[in-house]
Amino acid sequence: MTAPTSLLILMRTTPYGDQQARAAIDLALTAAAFELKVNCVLLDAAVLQLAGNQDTSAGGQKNHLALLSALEIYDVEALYVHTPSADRFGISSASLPYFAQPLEDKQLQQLMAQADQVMVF
Amino acid sequence: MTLHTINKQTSDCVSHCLNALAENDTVLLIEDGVYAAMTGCSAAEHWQQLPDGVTCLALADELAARGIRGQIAATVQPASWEEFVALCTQHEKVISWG
Repeated sequence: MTAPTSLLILMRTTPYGDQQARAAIDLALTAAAFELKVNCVLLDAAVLQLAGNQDTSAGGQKNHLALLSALEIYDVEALYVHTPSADRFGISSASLPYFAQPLEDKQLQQLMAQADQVMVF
Repeated sequence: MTLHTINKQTSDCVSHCLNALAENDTVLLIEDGVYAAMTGCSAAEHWQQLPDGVTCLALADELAARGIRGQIAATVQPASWEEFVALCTQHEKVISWG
């Protein structure tokens, strides 16, 4: 069996509710550092990870939006936002940050088919 | 008088709480529960039809962390941690949904 060369990470959780969103980012950064081709998709409630200007100064947490914006610098191929999920949570595609690309169901299926390994958080 | 806290954004969590509300109860949104107050989010319309005397608040620090301070329903008021403590002492019971 050959080692996987591409990884698709599906994120499904809100940024600060538990540790899942953070764990997904840690995995993305680690896998990219080991030269895997990594793509990330924000699905369901994970689209809330992109909401507004997050100010975590009061809670002592890391700013999740800032972590997402850094993925590209650390060689993660792309960060996608599942458009139907964003619609459900009232997040318009016009309000998406520059580092997130919209993704329809059909394209999601293609990403899943192309990836050697898919992990869900 | 009961204080209801909601700490998740799922719509069944919100609707269970709303079904249980009595007059003069207070709803406080904490943690991921604050997303339920977002305008444009399906749960937000619930806050338009609260029973008499029911107020709904959301923790301001949690709203700020999640970047939605400016996007909450007009009927939901931001609250500080100090107000959270005061609400706990003012109500006979605290029920946490989530």
